Amino acid sequence: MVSLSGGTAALVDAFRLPPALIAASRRYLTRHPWQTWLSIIGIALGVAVVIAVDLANESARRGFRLSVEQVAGPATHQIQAATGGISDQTYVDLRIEQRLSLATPVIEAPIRIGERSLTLLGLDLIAAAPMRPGLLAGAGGAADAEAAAGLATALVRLLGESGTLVLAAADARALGVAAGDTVQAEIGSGTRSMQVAAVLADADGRGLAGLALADIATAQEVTGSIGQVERIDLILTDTEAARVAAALPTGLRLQTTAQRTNALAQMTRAFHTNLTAMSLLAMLVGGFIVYNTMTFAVLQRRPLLGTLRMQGVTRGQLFALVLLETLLLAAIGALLGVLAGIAVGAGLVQLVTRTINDIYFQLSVRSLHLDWLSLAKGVGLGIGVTLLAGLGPALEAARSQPRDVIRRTLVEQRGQRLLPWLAAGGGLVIGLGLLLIPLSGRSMTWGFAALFLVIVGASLCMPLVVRLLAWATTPLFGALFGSVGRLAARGITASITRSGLAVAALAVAVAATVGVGIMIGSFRASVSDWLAHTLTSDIYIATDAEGGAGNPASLPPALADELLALPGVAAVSQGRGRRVETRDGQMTLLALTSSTGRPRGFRFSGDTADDLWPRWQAGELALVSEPYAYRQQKSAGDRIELFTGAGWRTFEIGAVFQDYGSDSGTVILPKPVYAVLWDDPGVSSMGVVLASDADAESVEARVEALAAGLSPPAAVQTNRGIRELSMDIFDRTFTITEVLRLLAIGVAFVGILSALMALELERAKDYAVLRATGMTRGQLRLLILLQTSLMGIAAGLLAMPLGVVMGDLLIQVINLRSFGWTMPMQIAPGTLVSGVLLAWFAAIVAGLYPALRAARAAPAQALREE
Amino acid sequence: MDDATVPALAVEGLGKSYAEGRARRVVLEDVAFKVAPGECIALLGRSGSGKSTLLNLLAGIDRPDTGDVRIAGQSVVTMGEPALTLLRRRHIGFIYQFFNLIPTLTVAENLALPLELNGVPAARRRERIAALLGKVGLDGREGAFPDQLSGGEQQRVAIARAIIHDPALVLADEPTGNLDAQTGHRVLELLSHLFRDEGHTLILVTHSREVSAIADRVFAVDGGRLTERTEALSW
Repeated sequence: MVSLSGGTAALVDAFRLPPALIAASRRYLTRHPWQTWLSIIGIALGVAVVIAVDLANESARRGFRLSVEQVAGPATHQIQAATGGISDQTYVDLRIEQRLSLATPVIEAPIRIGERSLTLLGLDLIAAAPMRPGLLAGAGGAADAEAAAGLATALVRLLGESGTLVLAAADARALGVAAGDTVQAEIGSGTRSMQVAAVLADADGRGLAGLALADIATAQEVTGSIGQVERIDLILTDTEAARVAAALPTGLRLQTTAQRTNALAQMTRAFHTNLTAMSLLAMLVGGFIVYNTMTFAVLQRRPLLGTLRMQGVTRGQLFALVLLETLLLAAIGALLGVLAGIAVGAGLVQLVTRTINDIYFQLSVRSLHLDWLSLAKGVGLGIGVTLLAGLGPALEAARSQPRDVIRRTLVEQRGQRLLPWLAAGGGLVIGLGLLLIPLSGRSMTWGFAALFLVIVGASLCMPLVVRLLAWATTPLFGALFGSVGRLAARGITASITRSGLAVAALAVAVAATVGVGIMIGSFRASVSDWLAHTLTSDIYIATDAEGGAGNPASLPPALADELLALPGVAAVSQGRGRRVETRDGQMTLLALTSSTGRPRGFRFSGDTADDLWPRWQAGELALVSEPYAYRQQKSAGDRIELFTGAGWRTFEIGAVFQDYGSDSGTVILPKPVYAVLWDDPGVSSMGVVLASDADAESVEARVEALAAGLSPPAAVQTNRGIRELSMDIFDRTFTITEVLRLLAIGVAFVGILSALMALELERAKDYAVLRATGMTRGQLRLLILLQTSLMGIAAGLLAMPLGVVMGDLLIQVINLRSFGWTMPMQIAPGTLVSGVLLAWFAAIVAGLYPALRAARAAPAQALREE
Repeated sequence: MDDATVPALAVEGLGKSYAEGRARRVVLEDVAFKVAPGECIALLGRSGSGKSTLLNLLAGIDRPDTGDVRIAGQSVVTMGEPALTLLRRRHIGFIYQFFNLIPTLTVAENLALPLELNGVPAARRRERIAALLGKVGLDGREGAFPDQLSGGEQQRVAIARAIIHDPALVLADEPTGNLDAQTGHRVLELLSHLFRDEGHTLILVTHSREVSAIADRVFAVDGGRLTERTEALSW
């Protein structure tokens, strides 16, 4: 007989899994294919959404980075002018005085040839040659002698012939053009013929893909900026950079290429972060499914685990067994998730790119870039969340007592006793989340962490609430449906450890839908209200054409007087918009003037300076938008520094105005002040205010007639037209959010279906007893559907308060910290009602199959099966 | 200590009570008996008499309020959870009323599990499984799953599983309680012969006089107390 004294030591191998245990586990999973596959699908969907969003984000970022690198080349620094353009003479003077050997003037503009959007890159090819030897040295970059000769010829043609350009082979192939062909190029608002001087072979032209390379003279000509360049790219050492910066004339500024790239990348940071958070929500819901499935798998096998414990299986072995099962599900789910993620990502990248184009800057991403790190992150997160979700059930399995084999109801009793503690824990977690909000300052990441804590805390409280709800509605269901109704309500209470989980998973997903719905609804209403308040003119005339060297084109100065002279016109306002540099990065500058003397349509938040408008008109004050004020923690009375044509100028902030037009911030100055400081008398838009008795249609016709003959061409839009267009763009930018929301609901639906299937499977014996005692198939179907209805309605009702809290947090914390926008929460009753209906519908649909299956089952067989 | 002189099971002053509201219900009181190696003992009693509680205390899956249980000389009462697990794994076999076979394992795999847990090599496992299946009359059913067997067959597998690792003590809780009379009788016969042949110590909990008839000694459990029945018993 073996001595027991060394028993504890002998349990060193407590986690070793005998083959029979692994076989039992494997067969359990294969014998419950619905449960297993629904769980795998849940994980796969979660992983797929995370990977798809990450791939789309990464592809967009990569597309942006590549285009910046392509255009900037190896330049380390750039000289830019506050006014947008640098004269040729200034460039020449700088080159000579500062002995800049590695410098080239640059013009960069969007160009469209056929169906392809490219970037026109104009360089001084001679000056740029030492900076980009691989691209332009001809023989140096060519694969063979023939190609080298071709490149040299192309270079000569680019320099010698006006209107010529060079394309990369990939672009030329896509366009179906070859060297020597003439193409129609759309630049700004005009179209002109250009000749393809050469097509660079793949080996040479890889760095040129997406670009149309031209000599600076051609670029100046086709963009209408004769005598001006947009910027100067340079390769400098730190010492040289310091020398050049000190010697720059007023209105010019030297910055590193990285600074400029970062400033642009910063613009879309919040957008990318929000998408990532939405995808994490889907993963969280996926984690719920796994938790639900594995908990059920443990509870269902509790007597079996008790038997195993009776035979000497250790707690460690049971723990390892459940974790191993979880890992297997996670691995399969993650693998399928990768495949689905790549497929979804391909569609998502188009939505991401379109949104960036709509609200930030022009970006062309032609294909999804398979970033291995994104895939690894998705897989790692999927497996991590799954294992985390499986940890609870694994510990539960390890807690199995040998006596559980005898007393099956013990588990449920213990679960019931735990509910108040679980709810108390949930309350604590919610409290922690709410506490984190003020403590986390302006951090977006901690804001999301607080939001997730509130979600997790609320879901911990839900089982207790569901039990109370089921208990409270038992008399009502009894009165309505008799004993079937009472059984349905009591069935939920009796199996609260499972039904509570299913309801919590569904409620969280529906709450996310409600919360995001409230956020979008509030945002939409605020934007609509803001547009109505801000767009104070009745008709707008604007030109979006390029005015050369990065400046927008201008409307004729006399147009304002012509418009004012039209019968029915009460006032005309004028505006000029451009990007400007501040000490805190780039922002939009809007210069306004009005024939009435003071612009209208502002809604201020916080204090405003005394004598606001007179001091603003005098150029002492600037108005800044909420996003800028929030991000830089500035308010009325603080200062803002702007880089003007006359160097850095400081303005006092007169007021902070509400603005949903740009999340990178807007500053507003009076037009005359702007015209002097930036040496730009141009006007890009005019607003026409009609007299109260004016015939809107006839004035609009007259304005259109005036605008028809303008060059560059200008578009005439009514106030209503602009609002409709703006709301269209708003809705388009939220398409991706809607898609992610739908995916989260999809994951939740899989979760509730999985939970219901598992519950019905477990209750098969109870149903068989009911059938054996005379319950008809129809009554059984009714019983199950009543039960799932009650669970769905409970989930919907619980989702309402949680959804409102989530919506509030999204608006007050996430939106504010991401974009700096404030807005009042507006709850459309339809959003809440549709949330409840969605939960109910999902539960009913998920309950259909289990109801049909249970009703079909032969009672004798179910009674026989243990 | 020499194994031959140590009782397979020794129970002294065992007491157990449960809280019922504010009162306590005494289930077992001052229970004491000894079982020699190879002996078969029946604990006979009506439902609710405390016999299942006694079985749980003997197996170490429940803790007594007073007294001690010693299996092969080792006190179960003072053992920690890991040691109890090892005790069950190596020295105790269980036979249940509802068989409790692992439904996802075949007959052979169900039998292999206790051996695998005890680290018995594969070749010896195969030999032992084949031998025991022959003894319980289930030759050729190695690959069958429990739900493919009749109740009597399942209980025969459960019996084989209980003794396959050669435990010091086998505890059987109403082993025929879930079988029809004829099948129950056959299982009982098998149990009796098998345990005599293999020399295992068996504690049998039952409410049936017929079942208790296979025991060497019979103890009646009534009102929480244990008394030995002295009337002659025939095999």
